[in-house]
Amino acid sequence: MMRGRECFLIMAIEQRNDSGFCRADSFAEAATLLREHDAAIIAGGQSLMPLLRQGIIDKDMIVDVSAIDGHNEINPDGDSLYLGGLATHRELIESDLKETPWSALIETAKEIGDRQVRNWGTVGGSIAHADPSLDYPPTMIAMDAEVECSDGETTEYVPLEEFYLGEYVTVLDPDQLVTGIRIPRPPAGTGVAFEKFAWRKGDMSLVNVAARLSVDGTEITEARIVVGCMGPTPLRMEKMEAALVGSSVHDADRQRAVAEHVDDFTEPVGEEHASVEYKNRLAERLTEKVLRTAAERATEGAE
Amino acid sequence: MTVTLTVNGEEKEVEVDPTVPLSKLLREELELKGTKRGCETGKCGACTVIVDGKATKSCQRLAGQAEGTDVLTIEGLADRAEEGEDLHPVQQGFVDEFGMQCGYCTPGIAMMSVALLEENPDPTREEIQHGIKGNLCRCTGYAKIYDAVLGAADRIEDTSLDPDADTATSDD
Repeated sequence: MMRGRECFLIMAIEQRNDSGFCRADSFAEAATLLREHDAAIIAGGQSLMPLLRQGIIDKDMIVDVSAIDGHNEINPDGDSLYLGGLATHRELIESDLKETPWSALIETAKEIGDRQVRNWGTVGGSIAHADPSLDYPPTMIAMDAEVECSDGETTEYVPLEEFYLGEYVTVLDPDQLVTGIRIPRPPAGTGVAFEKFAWRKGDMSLVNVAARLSVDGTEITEARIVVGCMGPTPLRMEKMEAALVGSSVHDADRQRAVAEHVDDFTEPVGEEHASVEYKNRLAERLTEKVLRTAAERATEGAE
Repeated sequence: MTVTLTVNGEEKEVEVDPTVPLSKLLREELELKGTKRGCETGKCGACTVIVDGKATKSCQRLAGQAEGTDVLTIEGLADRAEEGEDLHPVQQGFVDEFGMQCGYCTPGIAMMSVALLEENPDPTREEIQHGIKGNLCRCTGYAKIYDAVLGAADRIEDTSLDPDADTATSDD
C-alpha cells in the first residue's frame, strides 16, 4: 500500500509541467546538457524511473540518451570484451557470449528484474546507478572490468572496483557518462560464478556474490571474491582471496573454511526481515557455492 | 512538447509534458484507459504495453521517450485477431479459461503474454510462470492465468505481432 507521503510526491511530480526533457543525439551533447543543467541521464529508465516516480530525485532536466545511435555493441573479438553502455540486459542474454569465457555475464543478466526490465534496462545505466545491490558489479569486478567514462570528448577507463564511492555515488564527474564496459579476456583455466538471493525471483538482491578462480593444473593462481549488498559498495574480499591462492582447486573444505570468514569483512545493515546475522549467513553460503562452481568451471577450462 | 508516435497502428501527435510516464500519455491524452496504473514504480506490471515489439511497463518510460515509437496497447489487440475471430487468441484464452478475477492486472498480463508468445509460441507452464513474473495479480489467480496463456498458445497458429521480431528466447 502506498503511503500518504509517497502519494503526495507522485502527485507533485505529475503536476510539474515546466520540467525539462531533452533527447541527446550524442554523448557529447548529453555531457553539455549535464554541464548546463541540474540534470539526470535516462536510458532504459529501469533505474531512474522508480526514483523519479517515488520522488526520491527531482531534477530540472532529464536527458534521454536512449535515442543515440549505436553504443549497444557486444564485442568479444579482442583481448577484452567490450559492452556498449546502451546494450540492454536482453541483448546481452541473447548475445553469443555463451560459448566465451565471459558467459558468467549472461548468468548474471538473467537474474536482473523481469522480462520488461531486461528488455529496456541498459548495462551502462545499471553500472552508473551505483545501487549497492546491483547484480552486474560483483561479477564484473571479479573479472577486473573497467568502466569507460566519457564527457563526449575525452574518455577514461576506471577499474570498476574503484568506481563506486558509496551508495549511489561514483567517481564520475558531473558531466561524465558511462559509455561502455571493458572486461579483459580471462586466462585459460578460469571459472567465474555468480549467485544471488532475493525474496522473490527478479527482486533486487538481498545478498549477491561472485567469484573467479584461475588455476594452473590444480593450483589456484588467482582468486576473486566480491560480495554485493553487504556494504555501501560491492566489497572485494582480498584476504579471503589470498587464503585461496596456492591451494588446490579441489580442496572444497578449504573453500568452505574461507567462506566462513565473510562476516569478518562485511558491514550489512539489518532489516526487519533480514538481520545482520541472517545476511552474513546467506553471504557465507553463497560464497561457498560460487567458489565450488567457479572451481568446477576452472577445472573444466583447464582440461 | 509534441510527441509523434504510432499507437495501435494509428499515427498520433500528442501535446504532452515529456516527463510524465508513457502510461499517463496513453490514459489521459489518448483516453486509452485499458492500460492500468498500479504501483507506478515498476513493480506490478499492470501498465505493461508493447513498445517496438518489446514489452515494457509504461510507467517506466517517459512520454518524451515515446517519440517515433510503435506502441501496442490492449485496445489494439482485437485488431490482430485471426481471420473470422473477434478477439486476439490471448484475449480469447482469458475468456475461455476464466483467467481473471477482479481484472485489474489482466490488460498488463495479456500484453506481456502476447510478447511472450511472440518469442516462444509453445511455452511450458513453467516458462509462462517465469515469463510473466513481472506482473502481479493481487487476487493471486495465477493458476487460471497460466491456463489462459497455455490456451492462447494452442490457439495461435500464425498470428504475428511483428514479422521481423527476433524469435530467440531469453529464458530465465
